[in-house]
Amino acid sequence: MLGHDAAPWALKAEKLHKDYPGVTAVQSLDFTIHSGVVHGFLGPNGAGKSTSLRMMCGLLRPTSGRVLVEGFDPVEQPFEVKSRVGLLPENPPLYRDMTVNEYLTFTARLHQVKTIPDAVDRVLTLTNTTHVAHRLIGNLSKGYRQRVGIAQALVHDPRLVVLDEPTAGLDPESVVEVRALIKSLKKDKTVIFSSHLLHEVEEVCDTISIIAHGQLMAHGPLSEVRQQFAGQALVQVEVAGCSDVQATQLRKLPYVASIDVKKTQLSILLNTKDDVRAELVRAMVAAELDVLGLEQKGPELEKIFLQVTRNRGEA
Amino acid sequence: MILVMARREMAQLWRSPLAWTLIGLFSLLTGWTFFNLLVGYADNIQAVPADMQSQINFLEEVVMRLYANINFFLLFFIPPLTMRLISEEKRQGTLDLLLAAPITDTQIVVGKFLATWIFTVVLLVPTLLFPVVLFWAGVPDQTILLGCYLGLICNAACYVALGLFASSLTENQVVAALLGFIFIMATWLLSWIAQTTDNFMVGEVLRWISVTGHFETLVKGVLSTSDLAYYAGFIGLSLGCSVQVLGSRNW
Repeated sequence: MLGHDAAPWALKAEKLHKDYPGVTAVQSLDFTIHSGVVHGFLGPNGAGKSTSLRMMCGLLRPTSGRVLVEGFDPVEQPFEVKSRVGLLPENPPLYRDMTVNEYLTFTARLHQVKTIPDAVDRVLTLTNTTHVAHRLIGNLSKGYRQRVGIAQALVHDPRLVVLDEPTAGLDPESVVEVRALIKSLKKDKTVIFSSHLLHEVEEVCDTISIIAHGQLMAHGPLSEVRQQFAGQALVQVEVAGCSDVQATQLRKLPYVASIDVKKTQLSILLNTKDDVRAELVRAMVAAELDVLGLEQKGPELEKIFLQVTRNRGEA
Repeated sequence: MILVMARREMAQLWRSPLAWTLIGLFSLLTGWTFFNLLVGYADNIQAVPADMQSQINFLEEVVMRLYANINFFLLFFIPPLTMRLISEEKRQGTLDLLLAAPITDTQIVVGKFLATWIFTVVLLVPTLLFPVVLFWAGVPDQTILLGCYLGLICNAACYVALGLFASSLTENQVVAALLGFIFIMATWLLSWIAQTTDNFMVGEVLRWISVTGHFETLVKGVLSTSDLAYYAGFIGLSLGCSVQVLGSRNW
């Protein structure tokens, strides 16, 4: 018996894998998301976030492996999963010819909500959209449309809320409001939301998964993942030019984790927090590189994360 | 859930200016056709000697031709109604809303089909004026008129099911309309090939496969279970294909 309401975890992925013709979108993801947390699904564009989220909600069938939502498999028991999950896809699924009220009523009917007016009022209040309830969705601003999209994901009071890049393209004020809304939801729900912005995930989430090129690179409480990256630093070097041979020579240095070469700019990720600039310059001179400038950055999580995801993907 | 889906589709259709434009155009076109057939019949009657007038059959010259024409018009009026049914949902991303809800692909397809079919029946409502006029004119056989309407309603259901299938194949509404037109046209072509072929067996098989052959039977006022079974099978098969296409997103 798979399904059980008392599961200590909200979602579990087991060797989750998705291939599209000629492309592997997601490779053998294994992770567990506990109940009552805000979980960030972080990764650059095209990392496989949306594919993973769609498989979690039963919109896409995995090529192999499986997802369990509170013990239910979206492939085997789609209705059990769909009644427990509220989804906001990357593009909010809105009917522009409907008013907000009509749209949310229709969504509530689709989810067979018993007291529809109450449910609609509740999500209108929650998303602060009551004053636009009678306006056509097509006439609303992007910020309000996003809120209506979130409202539809909540109208059937799901236990798991999946939001795919909910703050993308919003103005700063709306971003703040949406983040506050996400935080408020964890009182009685588990929230999974994807983003390519690390600082956003840091602000909102309790636990995170970092995904790049379809692979899970880190997973767990934010503090643990931060620790994972904490022993690293980034050095930006300006050079006259850098050949592949020279870059390979630098990659062999024991304190260099990875190097990203962009014309005359080298981004060198160090696997130490110690100041190794002098040694690095000597090594670069030995490699016959003309160094024009050098700057060591602090442990900026976002830049390190971006470089790590890029390099792991290339590896 | 089928009714939830159908209600949503109906509401969208009634809001759409395209639907009202189609109702207006369809009424105008069918009214004009009816008027022309009546005038043509009157001219023919006057043109022939009195003893030959009985040979011009009013039912064949006006009634059956009228409803055959209306059936022909449906070929052009149904694809614009069905083109957006699924293609628009795909293009706007609203299909995700339906797929994330506890509703099956079959319920989505049947709900959309029912709403559009009902709308096409509404499209036929203004033409009910013609039987009233014909009744006053003294057309004796009302069963033929009933058969004509039953045939139109059944044909409309087949055309809507084909249009819906076409809409499930693409995200582009224009392509969906074009495909719908081609699919419906294909059912007509079968009937035309059946009429021209020298091979009796091939002709009979094509006539049976074609929607038009069954329509012609109904228009004659003959109602048979095999015709009704054919219509049910045709609609079921077309809707089944749409459900399969919708389900193929997973693979």
